[in-house]
Amino acid sequence: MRLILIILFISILFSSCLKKIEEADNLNTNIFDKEYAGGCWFNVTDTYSYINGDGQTKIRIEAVLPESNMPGLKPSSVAIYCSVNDQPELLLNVGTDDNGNYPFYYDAIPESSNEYCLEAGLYLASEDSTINRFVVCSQP
Amino acid sequence: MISQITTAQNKGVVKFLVDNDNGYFEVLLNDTLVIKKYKDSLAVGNYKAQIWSYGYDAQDVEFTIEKDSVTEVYVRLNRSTAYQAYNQSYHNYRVKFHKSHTLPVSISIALGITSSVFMVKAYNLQKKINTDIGTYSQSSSSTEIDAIKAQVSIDNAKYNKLRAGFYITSGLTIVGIATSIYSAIHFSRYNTEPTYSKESPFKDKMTFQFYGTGGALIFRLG
Repeated sequence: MRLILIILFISILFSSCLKKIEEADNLNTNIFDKEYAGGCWFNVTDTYSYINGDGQTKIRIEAVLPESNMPGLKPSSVAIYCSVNDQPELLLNVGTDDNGNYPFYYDAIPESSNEYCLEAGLYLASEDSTINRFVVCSQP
Repeated sequence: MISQITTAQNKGVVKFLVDNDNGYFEVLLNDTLVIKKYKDSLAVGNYKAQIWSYGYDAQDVEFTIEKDSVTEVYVRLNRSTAYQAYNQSYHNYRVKFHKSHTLPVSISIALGITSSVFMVKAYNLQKKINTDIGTYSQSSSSTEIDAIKAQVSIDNAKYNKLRAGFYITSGLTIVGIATSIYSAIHFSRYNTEPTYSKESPFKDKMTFQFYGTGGALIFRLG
Protein backbone atom coordinates (compact mmCIF):
# COMPACT_ATOMS: atom_id res chain seq x y z
CA MET A 1 0.00 0.00 0.00
CA ARG A 2 2.85 2.34 0.88
CA LEU A 3 4.49 1.63 -2.48
CA ILE A 4 1.28 2.59 -4.28
CA LEU A 5 1.03 5.85 -2.34
CA ILE A 6 4.66 6.70 -3.16
CA ILE A 7 4.07 6.00 -6.85
CA LEU A 8 0.91 8.12 -6.72
CA PHE A 9 2.71 10.99 -5.00
CA ILE A 10 5.53 10.97 -7.55
CA SER A 11 3.00 10.77 -10.38
CA ILE A 12 1.11 13.81 -9.11
CA LEU A 13 4.39 15.65 -8.61
CA PHE A 14 5.52 14.99 -12.15
CA SER A 15 2.13 15.36 -13.79
CA SER A 16 2.37 19.14 -13.38
CA CYS A 17 5.43 19.01 -15.63
CA LEU A 18 3.70 16.99 -18.32
CA LYS A 19 1.77 19.83 -19.90
CA LYS A 20 0.86 20.15 -23.53
CA ILE A 21 3.72 21.77 -25.45
CA GLU A 22 1.96 24.63 -27.20
CA GLU A 23 5.09 25.77 -29.07
CA ALA A 24 5.33 22.38 -30.77
CA ASP A 25 2.02 23.01 -32.53
CA ASN A 26 2.96 26.60 -33.39
CA LEU A 27 6.45 26.16 -34.73
CA ASN A 28 6.28 28.98 -37.29
CA THR A 29 8.03 31.92 -35.70
CA ASN A 30 11.40 31.69 -37.43
CA ILE A 31 11.68 33.91 -40.52
CA PHE A 32 13.78 31.22 -42.23
CA ASP A 33 10.89 28.77 -41.84
CA LYS A 34 8.98 28.21 -45.08
CA GLU A 35 5.80 28.13 -43.02
CA TYR A 36 6.62 31.35 -41.18
CA ALA A 37 3.35 32.84 -39.93
CA GLY A 38 4.58 36.03 -38.30
CA GLY A 39 4.37 39.58 -39.56
CA CYS A 40 6.56 41.35 -42.07
CA TRP A 41 10.15 40.69 -41.07
CA PHE A 42 11.57 43.99 -42.42
CA ASN A 43 10.76 47.67 -41.95
CA VAL A 44 10.95 50.41 -44.56
CA THR A 45 12.83 53.16 -42.78
CA ASP A 46 13.01 55.89 -45.46
CA THR A 47 11.99 56.66 -49.02
CA TYR A 48 13.46 59.60 -50.83
CA SER A 49 14.59 60.81 -54.24
CA TYR A 50 18.14 61.70 -55.13
CA ILE A 51 20.37 62.21 -58.14
CA ASN A 52 23.06 59.61 -58.61
CA GLY A 53 26.56 60.05 -60.03
CA ASP A 54 25.29 59.63 -63.59
CA GLY A 55 22.89 62.54 -63.08
CA GLN A 56 19.84 60.26 -62.98
CA THR A 57 17.02 60.78 -60.48
CA LYS A 58 16.39 57.69 -58.36
CA ILE A 59 14.03 56.85 -55.58
CA ARG A 60 15.83 55.13 -52.78
CA ILE A 61 13.77 52.89 -50.51
CA GLU A 62 15.74 52.09 -47.39
CA ALA A 63 14.74 49.11 -45.26
CA VAL A 64 16.12 47.13 -42.39
CA LEU A 65 15.81 43.60 -41.11
CA PRO A 66 15.87 44.22 -37.35
CA GLU A 67 18.14 42.07 -35.25
CA SER A 68 15.13 41.18 -33.07
CA ASN A 69 13.44 39.41 -36.00
CA MET A 70 16.43 37.18 -36.58
CA PRO A 71 16.95 33.72 -35.04
CA GLY A 72 19.22 33.31 -32.02
CA LEU A 73 22.33 32.34 -33.97
CA LYS A 74 22.75 35.28 -36.31
CA PRO A 75 24.54 34.83 -39.62
CA SER A 76 27.06 37.45 -40.71
CA SER A 77 24.99 38.13 -43.81
CA VAL A 78 21.55 37.40 -45.23
CA ALA A 79 20.58 36.96 -48.88
CA ILE A 80 17.51 39.07 -49.68
CA TYR A 81 15.71 39.16 -52.99
CA CYS A 82 13.87 42.43 -53.51
CA SER A 83 12.14 44.58 -56.07
CA VAL A 84 10.01 47.71 -56.18
CA ASN A 85 6.72 47.70 -58.10
CA ASP A 86 7.44 45.82 -61.35
CA GLN A 87 11.06 46.85 -61.60
CA PRO A 88 13.85 44.20 -61.88
CA GLU A 89 14.58 41.99 -58.87
CA LEU A 90 17.90 42.29 -57.09
CA LEU A 91 19.66 39.75 -54.94
CA LEU A 92 21.34 41.56 -52.06
CA ASN A 93 23.84 40.06 -49.69
CA VAL A 94 23.12 42.09 -46.57
CA GLY A 95 25.54 42.34 -43.66
CA THR A 96 24.99 43.76 -40.18
CA ASP A 97 25.44 47.32 -39.01
CA ASP A 98 26.83 48.42 -35.64
CA ASN A 99 23.53 47.58 -33.91
CA GLY A 100 23.34 44.06 -35.31
CA ASN A 101 20.55 45.01 -37.76
CA TYR A 102 20.63 44.13 -41.45
CA PRO A 103 20.04 47.36 -43.48
CA PHE A 104 19.39 47.24 -47.24
CA TYR A 105 17.98 49.51 -49.94
CA TYR A 106 16.60 49.51 -53.43
CA ASP A 107 17.17 52.33 -55.93
CA ALA A 108 14.02 52.52 -57.99
CA ILE A 109 13.26 54.43 -61.17
CA PRO A 110 10.79 57.23 -60.44
CA GLU A 111 7.21 56.36 -61.32
CA SER A 112 4.23 58.56 -61.96
CA SER A 113 2.15 56.91 -59.23
CA ASN A 114 4.69 58.13 -56.68
CA GLU A 115 4.02 55.01 -54.59
CA TYR A 116 6.82 52.54 -54.21
CA CYS A 117 6.05 49.06 -52.96
CA LEU A 118 9.13 47.22 -51.80
CA GLU A 119 8.73 43.43 -52.06
CA ALA A 120 11.43 41.44 -50.27
CA GLY A 121 11.95 37.77 -49.57
CA LEU A 122 14.68 35.65 -48.03
CA TYR A 123 16.69 33.81 -50.65
CA LEU A 124 17.55 30.15 -50.11
CA ALA A 125 20.68 29.40 -52.14
CA SER A 126 20.32 25.64 -51.56
CA GLU A 127 16.91 25.62 -53.22
CA ASP A 128 17.36 28.68 -55.40
CA SER A 129 14.05 30.04 -54.18
CA THR A 130 12.70 32.91 -52.13
CA ILE A 131 10.55 32.46 -49.05
CA ASN A 132 8.43 34.72 -46.88
CA ARG A 133 7.90 37.56 -49.33
CA PHE A 134 6.31 40.68 -47.95
CA VAL A 135 5.38 43.99 -49.57
CA VAL A 136 5.59 47.37 -47.89
CA CYS A 137 4.50 50.48 -49.77
CA SER A 138 5.75 53.98 -49.12
CA GLN A 139 5.99 57.39 -50.71
CA PRO A 140 9.02 59.70 -50.87
CA MET B 1 1.63 -33.86 41.68
CA ILE B 2 4.69 -35.86 40.63
CA SER B 3 5.49 -39.42 41.57
CA GLN B 4 8.66 -41.31 40.75
CA ILE B 5 8.27 -44.34 38.52
CA THR B 6 9.09 -47.77 39.82
CA THR B 7 10.89 -50.08 37.44
CA ALA B 8 8.90 -53.13 36.34
CA GLN B 9 10.73 -56.40 36.03
CA ASN B 10 8.75 -58.11 33.24
CA LYS B 11 8.84 -55.66 30.41
CA GLY B 12 8.67 -55.47 26.68
CA VAL B 13 9.01 -52.74 24.11
CA VAL B 14 6.26 -51.15 22.05
CA LYS B 15 6.85 -49.19 18.87
CA PHE B 16 4.09 -47.00 17.50
CA LEU B 17 4.17 -46.63 13.73
CA VAL B 18 1.69 -43.82 13.15
CA ASP B 19 0.84 -42.75 9.64
CA ASN B 20 -0.04 -39.03 9.63
CA ASP B 21 1.19 -35.84 7.95
CA ASN B 22 2.57 -33.84 10.82
CA GLY B 23 4.76 -36.48 12.53
CA TYR B 24 3.30 -35.74 15.95
CA PHE B 25 1.06 -38.01 17.98
CA GLU B 26 0.03 -38.79 21.51
CA VAL B 27 -0.91 -42.18 22.90
CA LEU B 28 -3.31 -42.65 25.79
CA LEU B 29 -2.66 -46.00 27.42
CA ASN B 30 -5.50 -47.72 29.22
CA ASP B 31 -7.26 -44.37 29.54
CA THR B 32 -4.73 -43.22 32.12
CA LEU B 33 -1.21 -42.52 30.86
CA VAL B 34 -0.30 -40.31 27.94
CA ILE B 35 2.97 -41.00 26.18
CA LYS B 36 4.39 -38.89 23.37
CA LYS B 37 7.14 -41.18 22.13
CA TYR B 38 7.17 -43.60 19.23
CA LYS B 39 8.93 -46.25 21.35
CA ASP B 40 8.57 -47.14 25.02
CA SER B 41 9.07 -49.93 27.50
CA LEU B 42 5.89 -51.27 29.03
CA ALA B 43 5.03 -53.98 31.49
CA VAL B 44 3.94 -57.29 30.03
CA GLY B 45 0.21 -57.45 29.41
CA ASN B 46 -2.67 -56.41 27.18
CA TYR B 47 -3.22 -52.75 26.48
CA LYS B 48 -5.95 -50.59 25.05
CA ALA B 49 -4.76 -47.33 23.64
CA GLN B 50 -6.05 -44.27 21.86
CA ILE B 51 -3.78 -42.53 19.39
CA TRP B 52 -4.38 -38.95 18.50
CA SER B 53 -2.69 -36.27 16.45
CA TYR B 54 -3.54 -32.69 15.63
CA GLY B 55 -6.14 -32.67 12.86
CA TYR B 56 -6.97 -36.35 13.18
CA ASP B 57 -9.60 -38.41 14.96
CA ALA B 58 -8.37 -40.37 17.97
CA GLN B 59 -8.15 -44.01 17.02
CA ASP B 60 -8.51 -47.03 19.30
CA VAL B 61 -5.95 -49.83 19.13
CA GLU B 62 -5.21 -52.88 21.21
CA PHE B 63 -1.89 -54.66 21.57
CA THR B 64 -0.09 -57.13 23.79
CA ILE B 65 3.36 -56.65 25.30
CA GLU B 66 5.39 -59.82 25.71
CA LYS B 67 8.50 -60.15 27.82
CA ASP B 68 11.72 -59.01 26.12
CA SER B 69 10.09 -58.62 22.72
CA VAL B 70 9.26 -55.64 20.49
CA THR B 71 5.63 -55.09 19.56
CA GLU B 72 4.98 -52.86 16.59
CA VAL B 73 1.66 -51.07 16.47
CA TYR B 74 0.80 -49.64 13.08
CA VAL B 75 -1.93 -47.04 12.99
CA ARG B 76 -3.21 -44.99 10.09
CA LEU B 77 -4.98 -41.91 11.41
CA ASN B 78 -8.01 -40.48 9.67
CA ARG B 79 -8.54 -36.78 9.23
CA SER B 80 -11.18 -35.44 11.56
CA THR B 81 -14.35 -33.97 10.07
CA ALA B 82 -13.80 -30.83 12.10
CA TYR B 83 -10.32 -30.43 10.63
CA GLN B 84 -11.60 -30.98 7.10
CA ALA B 85 -14.27 -28.35 7.71
CA TYR B 86 -11.62 -26.03 9.08
CA ASN B 87 -9.39 -26.69 6.07
CA GLN B 88 -12.21 -25.92 3.66
CA SER B 89 -13.19 -22.82 5.54
CA TYR B 90 -9.56 -21.66 5.74
CA HIS B 91 -9.21 -22.24 1.99
CA ASN B 92 -12.35 -20.18 1.37
CA TYR B 93 -11.01 -17.49 3.65
CA ARG B 94 -7.70 -17.33 1.74
CA VAL B 95 -9.50 -17.17 -1.61
CA LYS B 96 -11.57 -14.27 -0.32
CA PHE B 97 -8.45 -12.65 1.11
CA HIS B 98 -6.67 -12.82 -2.25
CA LYS B 99 -9.72 -11.44 -4.04
CA SER B 100 -10.06 -8.52 -1.69
CA HIS B 101 -6.38 -7.82 -0.94
CA THR B 102 -3.87 -9.41 -3.29
CA LEU B 103 -5.77 -8.89 -6.53
CA PRO B 104 -6.67 -5.17 -6.20
CA VAL B 105 -3.29 -4.31 -4.68
CA SER B 106 -1.45 -6.16 -7.47
CA ILE B 107 -3.52 -4.44 -10.14
CA SER B 108 -2.95 -1.06 -8.48
CA ILE B 109 0.80 -1.66 -8.33
CA ALA B 110 0.88 -2.76 -11.97
CA LEU B 111 -1.09 0.34 -12.99
CA GLY B 112 1.12 2.56 -10.85
CA ILE B 113 4.26 1.15 -12.45
CA THR B 114 2.76 1.50 -15.93
CA SER B 115 1.84 5.08 -15.12
CA SER B 116 5.40 5.75 -13.96
CA VAL B 117 6.81 4.29 -17.16
CA PHE B 118 4.54 6.56 -19.21
CA MET B 119 5.56 9.50 -17.06
CA VAL B 120 9.30 8.92 -17.35
CA LYS B 121 9.12 8.35 -21.11
CA ALA B 122 6.95 11.43 -21.59
CA TYR B 123 9.25 13.51 -19.42
CA ASN B 124 12.32 12.49 -21.43
CA LEU B 125 10.53 13.19 -24.70
CA GLN B 126 9.38 16.56 -23.41
CA LYS B 127 12.98 17.53 -22.72
CA LYS B 128 13.99 16.48 -26.23
CA ILE B 129 11.14 18.44 -27.82
CA ASN B 130 12.01 21.56 -25.84
CA THR B 131 15.64 21.22 -26.90
CA ASP B 132 14.56 20.89 -30.53
CA ILE B 133 12.30 23.93 -30.21
CA GLY B 134 15.27 25.84 -28.82
CA THR B 135 17.38 24.75 -31.79
CA TYR B 136 14.57 25.80 -34.15
CA SER B 137 14.50 29.31 -32.77
CA GLN B 138 18.28 29.55 -33.12
CA SER B 139 18.61 28.23 -36.64
CA SER B 140 18.94 30.31 -39.80
CA SER B 141 19.10 27.27 -42.06
CA SER B 142 15.85 26.44 -43.80
CA THR B 143 16.95 22.82 -44.36
CA GLU B 144 17.75 22.35 -40.70
CA ILE B 145 14.45 23.98 -39.73
CA ASP B 146 12.51 21.55 -41.94
CA ALA B 147 14.26 18.59 -40.30
CA ILE B 148 13.67 19.93 -36.78
CA LYS B 149 9.99 20.55 -37.46
CA ALA B 150 9.47 17.07 -38.85
CA GLN B 151 11.13 15.55 -35.80
CA VAL B 152 9.22 17.76 -33.37
CA SER B 153 5.97 16.81 -35.07
CA ILE B 154 6.70 13.08 -34.65
CA ASP B 155 7.93 13.48 -31.08
CA ASN B 156 5.02 15.69 -30.10
CA ALA B 157 2.46 13.17 -31.33
CA LYS B 158 4.24 10.47 -29.34
CA TYR B 159 4.50 12.77 -26.32
CA ASN B 160 0.76 13.44 -26.36
CA LYS B 161 0.04 9.70 -26.49
CA LEU B 162 2.35 9.12 -23.54
CA ARG B 163 0.65 11.94 -21.63
CA ALA B 164 -2.75 10.41 -22.32
CA GLY B 165 -1.42 7.03 -21.20
CA PHE B 166 0.00 8.59 -18.05
CA TYR B 167 -3.23 10.37 -17.11
CA ILE B 168 -5.40 7.32 -17.83
CA THR B 169 -3.21 4.90 -15.87
CA SER B 170 -2.83 7.43 -13.04
CA GLY B 171 -6.60 7.72 -12.82
CA LEU B 172 -6.97 3.97 -12.84
CA THR B 173 -4.27 3.69 -10.17
CA ILE B 174 -6.23 6.05 -7.92
CA VAL B 175 -9.37 3.99 -8.53
CA GLY B 176 -7.35 0.85 -7.81
CA ILE B 177 -6.05 2.25 -4.53
CA ALA B 178 -9.54 3.32 -3.47
CA THR B 179 -10.87 -0.12 -4.38
CA SER B 180 -8.03 -1.80 -2.47
CA ILE B 181 -8.73 0.24 0.65
CA TYR B 182 -12.48 -0.29 0.44
CA SER B 183 -12.13 -3.98 -0.20
CA ALA B 184 -9.60 -4.43 2.64
CA ILE B 185 -11.90 -2.65 5.09
CA HIS B 186 -14.92 -4.59 3.86
CA PHE B 187 -13.03 -7.86 4.12
CA SER B 188 -11.76 -7.29 7.65
CA ARG B 189 -15.21 -6.17 8.78
CA TYR B 190 -17.08 -9.21 7.51
CA ASN B 191 -14.46 -11.98 7.67
CA THR B 192 -12.39 -13.52 10.43
CA GLU B 193 -9.64 -16.02 9.98
CA PRO B 194 -10.83 -19.53 10.90
CA THR B 195 -8.93 -21.21 13.71
CA TYR B 196 -8.53 -24.81 14.71
CA SER B 197 -7.72 -25.87 18.24
CA LYS B 198 -4.52 -27.89 18.66
CA GLU B 199 -5.54 -28.82 22.15
CA SER B 200 -5.05 -32.46 22.91
CA PRO B 201 -8.07 -34.49 24.06
CA PHE B 202 -5.65 -36.12 26.54
CA LYS B 203 -4.61 -32.90 28.20
CA ASP B 204 -6.18 -33.88 31.52
CA LYS B 205 -4.44 -37.23 31.70
CA MET B 206 -1.15 -38.23 33.27
CA THR B 207 1.94 -37.71 31.17
CA PHE B 208 5.34 -39.24 31.37
CA GLN B 209 8.40 -37.03 31.10
CA PHE B 210 12.11 -37.76 31.06
CA TYR B 211 14.88 -35.91 32.89
CA GLY B 212 18.62 -36.39 32.91
CA THR B 213 18.43 -38.58 35.99
CA GLY B 214 15.20 -40.46 35.28
CA GLY B 215 11.54 -39.78 34.56
CA ALA B 216 8.42 -38.52 36.19
CA LEU B 217 4.71 -38.98 35.99
CA ILE B 218 2.78 -35.73 35.89
CA PHE B 219 -0.82 -35.45 36.97
CA ARG B 220 -2.80 -32.41 36.03
CA LEU B 221 -5.28 -31.34 38.64
CA GLY B 222 -8.15 -29.11 37.83
